[in-house]
Amino acid sequence: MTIPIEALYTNSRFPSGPSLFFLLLYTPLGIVIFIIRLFISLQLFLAAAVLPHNTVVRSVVLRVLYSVMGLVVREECRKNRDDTCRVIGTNHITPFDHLAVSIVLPCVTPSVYDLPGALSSLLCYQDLGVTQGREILRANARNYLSNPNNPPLLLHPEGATTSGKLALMKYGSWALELNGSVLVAGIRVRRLPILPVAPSVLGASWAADLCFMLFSPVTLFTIKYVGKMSRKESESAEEFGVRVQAATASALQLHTSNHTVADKVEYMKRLAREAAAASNPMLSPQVHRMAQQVQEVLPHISLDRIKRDLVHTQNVDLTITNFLEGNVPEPVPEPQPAPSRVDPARVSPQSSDLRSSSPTATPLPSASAEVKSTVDRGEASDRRSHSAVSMSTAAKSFGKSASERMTSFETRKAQLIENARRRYIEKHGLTVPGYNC
Amino acid sequence: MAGRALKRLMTEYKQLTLNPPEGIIAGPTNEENFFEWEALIVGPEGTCFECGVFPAKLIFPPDYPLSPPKMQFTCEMFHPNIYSDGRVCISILHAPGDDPMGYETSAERWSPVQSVEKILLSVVSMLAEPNDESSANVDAAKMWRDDRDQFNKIAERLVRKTLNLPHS
Repeated sequence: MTIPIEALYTNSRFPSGPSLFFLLLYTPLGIVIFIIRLFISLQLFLAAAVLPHNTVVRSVVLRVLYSVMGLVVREECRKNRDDTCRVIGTNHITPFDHLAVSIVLPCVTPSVYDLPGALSSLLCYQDLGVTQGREILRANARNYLSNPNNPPLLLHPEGATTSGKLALMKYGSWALELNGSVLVAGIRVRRLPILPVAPSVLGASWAADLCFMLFSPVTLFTIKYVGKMSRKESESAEEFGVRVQAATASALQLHTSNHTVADKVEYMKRLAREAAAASNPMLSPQVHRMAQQVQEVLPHISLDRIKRDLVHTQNVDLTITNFLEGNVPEPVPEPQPAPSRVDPARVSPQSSDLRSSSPTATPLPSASAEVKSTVDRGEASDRRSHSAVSMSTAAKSFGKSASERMTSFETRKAQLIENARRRYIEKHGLTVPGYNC
Repeated sequence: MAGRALKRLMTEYKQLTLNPPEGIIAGPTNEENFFEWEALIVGPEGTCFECGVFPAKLIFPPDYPLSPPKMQFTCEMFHPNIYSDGRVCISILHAPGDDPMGYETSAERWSPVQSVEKILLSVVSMLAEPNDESSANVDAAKMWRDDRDQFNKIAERLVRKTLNLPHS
C-alpha cells in the first residue's frame, strides 16, 4: 500500500470539531499556565546551566524543569532496553524527542543549531558538524563513539519529523551502521485527547512547538523499546534500514512508507509554491492556462499583458474582446523586438525585396510590435526605390461595417492587379491600348 | 471554439488590411463566411513569376488557429511545389507530425503562433525558390531542374494570363 506524502504530516496545529470548542474554553487558562511555566522554566534552566556537568543535582533540576514544562515521559517494554548500545535509533516527531529520551536514558543528539557549548550540552546536543556534510558527520560520530565515557548517541534515521500518526518515513542507512548494534525504540507523543493540539506541524519552528508545549496541560512522550538490533552478515545497509523501520512501525502500530527526507523537502517546497501562487494571481496555473488560450488567438500580445488583464476579467473571451477593442492600456514601450509579424530569418531575401519600394503607403503602426517592421520597410525602400508603381495593398483604415470592408477589399484587389499590370508593361515596354499615353 | 477562430481571423484580417506585406492582399471573400478567404499574391521581383498576380483561396478550419488552413491557387499554376489542382505543398500548412508526404524535415510547421501573413510570405518564398526535393508537380520539378528556359517561358505565359495581357 502506498501512502501519499501529505498523509505523513500534520498541517494544522488545531483540531476541528468539538475539540476546538474546548480549546477556546481552555485558552485563557492555557495562557496563564504558559506564562507561569515560562518564568519557572527560565529560572530552572538558568540554574541547570550554572550547575556542574554530570551531577545528580543537575539532572534532578533538569527533570523538574521538564515536568514543569509539561513534558512527561513513560517507558514501555523496558525489558527490551539495552544500555550497552552506543547508538539509539528512534523515529522523529518533535524537536524535543531527544530531551524526552534523555530523561530516562542519558544520551546526546547531533546538533543542528549553532549553539554555544554550554547551552548545547544542557540541551543534550553534541556538535558533530552536521552542516559540514555527511562524511564529516560520520567521522565525527565515530570519533565521539570511540570514547566509552560519552553517553550514547541518539539518532533519527528518518532524518525529519512526521506526525507519528500514520506511517514512518524511510529509514536512512547511515545512522544505523555507525557502530555495530543499535538500540531501536519508537516514540509516540500524545496530548490530552480533549485538547489535541498537534505537538509539531509541517514547517513549524522549534520555538512555536515549544510555546504550544508550555501552553498544553501535558505532553506525554511514550518510549517503546524495540530492542537491540544489528545488521546481519547477509544484509545490506539498506535492507537493515528497512528491517529497523518495519520493527519500529509494528511496535508503534504504524505503517511504513518509502518517502525520504528529500521527498519531504520537495513537498514543503511545493506547498510554498502553491501558497505563493494563491497569493499572487499572476502566477496561478489557472490564469496561465487561460492566458495561453488568449494567446492562441492573439499571438502577438505578451503573456504578461494578457495575464494582467485576465486577473481582472477572469474570462478568456472578455480579455480577447478587451484587446481587440483596445480597452487594454498599452504598456510602457519597451525596446524589445517583440515577435514582429515577419521573422526575417524565415523569409527568403526575395520576399523582403518584394516588400520594398513603397515610400508612400507606409501604414500607421497600431502596436509597438509593428514599429520594427515599419522601420525595416523604410530602410528597404531607400535601398530599392527604382520601381515607380506601388505594390502596397494597405488600407488607410479598417472599416467598421462588413460592407465597408468588403468594398475596400475589392477596390484594393483591383488596384493591386492594376499596379502589377502597369509595372509589367513598364518593364517589358509593351504597347497595350489604354495603358500607354 | 468557432467564436475564438472568428476573433482571431478578424484580428489577422485587420492586421493584413492596415499593414500588409508588399504585394500581398488577403481577406474573406464574403464576410458572411469568415472561414473562406481570398488572397492575391504578386510574383516576387527578379523571378520568372515577377509581376504576376496569383489568386488563391484559403479555407480555415473551425478550430483555427489550432489547425492550419488549406490553401489552393485558383489560377493555372506550373510550379514544383504546387499540385496541378492548385493546392500548395509547404511545411507551414502542416501541423507537426502530420506529414502526408513524409519528406518534410523539421522545417517550419503550423502552430497557433503562425499566421495567414506568414503563410503568404512563405508562399512568396516558395514561388521565388522552388524546393525540388518535395515535388507536388513532377513535370514542373523536372523542367525546373533540366530545362529552365522552357520553365521560364511557361511562367511568363502564366504571368500574362493573370494580368489579362495577350500572350507574346
